[in-house]
Amino acid sequence: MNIQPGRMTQTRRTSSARRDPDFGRQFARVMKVVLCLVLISSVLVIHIYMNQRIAETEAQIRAVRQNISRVRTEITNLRNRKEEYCSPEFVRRQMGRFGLNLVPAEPGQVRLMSVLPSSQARRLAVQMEQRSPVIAADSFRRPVPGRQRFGSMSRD
Amino acid sequence: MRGKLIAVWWFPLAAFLIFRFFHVQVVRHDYYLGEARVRYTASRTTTGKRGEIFDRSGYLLVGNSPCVEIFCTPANLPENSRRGVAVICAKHFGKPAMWYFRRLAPTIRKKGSDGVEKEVPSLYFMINRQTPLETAESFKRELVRFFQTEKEKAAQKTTARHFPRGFIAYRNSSYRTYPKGRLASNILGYINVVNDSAVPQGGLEKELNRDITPEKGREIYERTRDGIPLDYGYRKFTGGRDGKDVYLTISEPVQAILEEELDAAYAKWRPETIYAAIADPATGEILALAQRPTFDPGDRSSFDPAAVRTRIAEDSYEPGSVIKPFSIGKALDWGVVTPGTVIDCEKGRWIYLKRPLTDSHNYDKLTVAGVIQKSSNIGTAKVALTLGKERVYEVLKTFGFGEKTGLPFPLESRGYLPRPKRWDGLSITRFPIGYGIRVSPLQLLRAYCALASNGDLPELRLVDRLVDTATGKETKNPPKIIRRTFMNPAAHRQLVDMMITVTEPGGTATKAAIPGYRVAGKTGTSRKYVPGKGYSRGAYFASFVGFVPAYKPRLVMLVTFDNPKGASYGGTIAGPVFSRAASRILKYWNVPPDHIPEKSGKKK
Repeated sequence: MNIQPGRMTQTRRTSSARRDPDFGRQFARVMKVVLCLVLISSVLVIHIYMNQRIAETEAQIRAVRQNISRVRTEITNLRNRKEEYCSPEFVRRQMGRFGLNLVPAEPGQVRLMSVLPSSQARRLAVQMEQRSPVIAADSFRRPVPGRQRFGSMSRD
Repeated sequence: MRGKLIAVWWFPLAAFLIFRFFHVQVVRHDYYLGEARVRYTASRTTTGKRGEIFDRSGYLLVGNSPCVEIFCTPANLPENSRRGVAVICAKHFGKPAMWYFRRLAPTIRKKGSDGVEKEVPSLYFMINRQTPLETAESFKRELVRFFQTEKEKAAQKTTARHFPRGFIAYRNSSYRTYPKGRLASNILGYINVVNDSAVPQGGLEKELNRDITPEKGREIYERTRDGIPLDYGYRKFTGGRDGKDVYLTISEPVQAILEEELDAAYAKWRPETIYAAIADPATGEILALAQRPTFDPGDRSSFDPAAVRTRIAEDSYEPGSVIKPFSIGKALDWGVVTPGTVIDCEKGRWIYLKRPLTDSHNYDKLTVAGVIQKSSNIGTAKVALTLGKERVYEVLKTFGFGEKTGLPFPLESRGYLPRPKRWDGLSITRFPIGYGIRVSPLQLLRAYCALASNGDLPELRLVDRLVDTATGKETKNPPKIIRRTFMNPAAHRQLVDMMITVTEPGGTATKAAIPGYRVAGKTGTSRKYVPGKGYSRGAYFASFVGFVPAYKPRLVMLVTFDNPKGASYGGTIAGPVFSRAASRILKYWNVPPDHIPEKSGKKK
């Protein structure tokens, strides 16, 4: 015999809420705890993520630094090579190799010589010709483009 | 109920896990990271760069080239790979494969403490020290490829072989380069590597070693299981410092011009040695310092004991007539003589204390100016006798003879100038003409700087400044004047006038003249003293020391030939070298010529 009336099911269903009127409050509390846990976990996750990003960025920095040091090494090598190519001995060798008959500029080719009086300039030209006829004659006779000649530059 | 149970068990567990997670990842993050790093990091001693040497304008004279040191532990190399590795080494580093094969043997015979030879594992072999970066990369690739191939081959059979663990190591390093070759090599010195450390040999490399040597530091780095540093791994440097860079007062172009002229003269006159130096008289800065023979620090086959020494600082010699202007100049300064004072030069032969003193030509009577122009020994000796030995000694001391110049050369010569109480009767007639005393080329250069700069004796300077590359801090070496040598400016001017006549027609050094400029100087030709035999009749020191432009000098130059062949006079041999080098340097500096009146050009 079923001693319980048929509507008891309904009654039982509704009675649990009636029996624990603080269910909502409890649920809220649990939710709060869960929320707290979620919050803590997300802080944790964010922290771990940030640490990971920091590590990655550090690795990138190190890679850039590595590149900088590699570039510096290359610069050092290039500088050394440049200095070698600029050395007078190397330039002289190359001049010989390519047959460049370069001669240093004579006083007549230098603008600063303009302070000389004309008489001395003429005398100097004669002296230079006597010393090294080829170079001196060449430098005094051939006008240098853009530069005036010895005599005409003198003051008096 | 079940839910409650789950909640009772899982919540604390989850809470504990979260707490632990939080503790590990947040609270003790740094601690655990540090602990982990200790396990996958290693440390090693690092050495910074050795300081570099530059000229006054910053042109590199001695530098460092980055390179890789490749070394290995032969004991860790499998026997069946030894031949292959030896071949790869030979291909990259030039020595025969057999040479590497022998050194890659896993064991070596070594004498124990009991004196008995026994086989021990070979733990260290330097495959190649100064390996260019490209060569090292190529070697690395080929070695990896070799072992991969070996591995693949082996995989088809029974067991696969891996790259031998702990066999090879690469260390970033640098080696000394001398991009200018022989230029100023005697001054700069060079480096030898002994037991993996740089040992400077002579020159500035040795004298400034304390400043240019880097300090050792420590590097902590992330490593692989084999101990190889990870390229992008964590790295931390502690301590350590690069050596200081050195800036010299030398000017590379001036040095190059001087050395070029010396090379030509060395080929022409074939002397035992040539010394040459150029200085700025106002500041005492050395602009060029050269000697022949010399060497190329990059080519060890050119090393010769005579060429490697810094002889210009270490040698001394009897200077001859180049020392005459000092006694005569001070005699003018003290008013003992005037340029017009006439001296009897005894027609070229004078007996004093039963010993003859001769001149190169038979002069009868000369003025003091003529004594300088014609370089009369007798005239100078008579002026010195008028001064007395105490004052002659004072003159020579005042101009710095007998004391070091203080340039940074460890074995710099002091020369020889005895005190007056040790002089014999003849000394007073011999010392002022440059016999019986010894001077170094640098002392002579400094003394002429005083003549060129109104009598102010400057301290010679070769090192301009030291620069700490890390901090940029400069340690300067400012110019100093040691003492004033002339009290009377008029007397100094008279002496310079006399010295100008030396390079004019009628003087002993017409070949030292430079068209357009007044050159003041003095020649010197002294017989070489051969121990046990006396003064040689065929071997001489031929010198010329001068400054230009005479009244506003930009440079003082000394050129000395030791035992030239074919001629002996300083005016003939050293004079032209002075003229050519100084002329080129003045052009390079754009120094305007002097106003020379017509009559001075025609003066005979």
